[in-house]
Amino acid sequence: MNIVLRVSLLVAIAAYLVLILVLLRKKSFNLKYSLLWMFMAVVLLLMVAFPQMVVTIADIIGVSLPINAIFMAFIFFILLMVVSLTSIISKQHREIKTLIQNVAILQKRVSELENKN
Amino acid sequence: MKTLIIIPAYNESENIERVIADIKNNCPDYDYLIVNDCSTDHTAEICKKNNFNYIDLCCNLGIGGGVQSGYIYAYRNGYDYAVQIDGDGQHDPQYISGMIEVLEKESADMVVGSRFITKEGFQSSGMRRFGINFLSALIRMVCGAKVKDVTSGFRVANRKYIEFFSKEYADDYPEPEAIVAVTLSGGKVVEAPVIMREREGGVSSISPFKSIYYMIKVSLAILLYRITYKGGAKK
Repeated sequence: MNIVLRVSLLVAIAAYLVLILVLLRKKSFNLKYSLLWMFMAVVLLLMVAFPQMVVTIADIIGVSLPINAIFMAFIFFILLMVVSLTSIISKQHREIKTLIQNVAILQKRVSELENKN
Repeated sequence: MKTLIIIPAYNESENIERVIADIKNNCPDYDYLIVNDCSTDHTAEICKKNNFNYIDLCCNLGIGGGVQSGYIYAYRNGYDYAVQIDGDGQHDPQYISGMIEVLEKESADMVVGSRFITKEGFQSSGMRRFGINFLSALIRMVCGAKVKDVTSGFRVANRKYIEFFSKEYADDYPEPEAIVAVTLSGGKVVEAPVIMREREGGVSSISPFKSIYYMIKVSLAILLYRITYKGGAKK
């Protein structure tokens, strides 16, 4: 990995981390969900700090160009993120469904009580 | 025994009055609950005007979430039996008492009203029957339940499975999956003969265009339910 690539990656990761911190500060980001995003930044930082590691990993998994190993890591993380988003959405879907059902039943109860009075 | 008839209704303004009149004539002893799944027509107004017993979902949940609302209501209000019946008039309420008799006699947990036992009345098209037979065989394979009319939405559940469904019920096309869920959890599902009518108004929720999706979704749902089932092997 040449020095120009390392510096550009470093700048990109720094900007990315700042973005996450700003979002967290504005409370538009739940800390729980930001952990995986931050973990991703840390792994990328490690790759920039120890480029030899990337070369070794690329060798082990059979990728001839180390930069491709970095791309692969990116794609893998994004995949992981999307899967975790789907799981979050599914959980929220279940919660919203329960809410709608409960509201409907309570609404009925309220109008029954109102009619009694 | 306290019995609740659950009627999921989505845009059934053409049918709902007739369905309720039918229920009041045939089963005056049973309570009923219409679940208006955020209809865009006048279903809610008709229910209000006629003073029907109904709940209004504020967002459209689809058939699964709608029926489940009925089960939650049945559970909280202490019903012993819950009957599911379509809002389009396909299911004749006069068979409900027979289905409950079968439930008690066979000490079953759920009874499915089947049009393929006496083979009378509306039998659906050939293609659709082929699909139903396929799903029936698949369900038999994964859990051993011998149910022919697996897509029938005409069913009775006992108190135990009212509670079960109030907690867990599939979102869309839930009927075949519910048979697998009940059987795998150790419940007994049997069929009772009913005669179904062709729908009288409105449009079916499953258009021919959606049939392929239906088959794929339901087959996968059944297989995945079996594979990911946490309770271990069937008793």
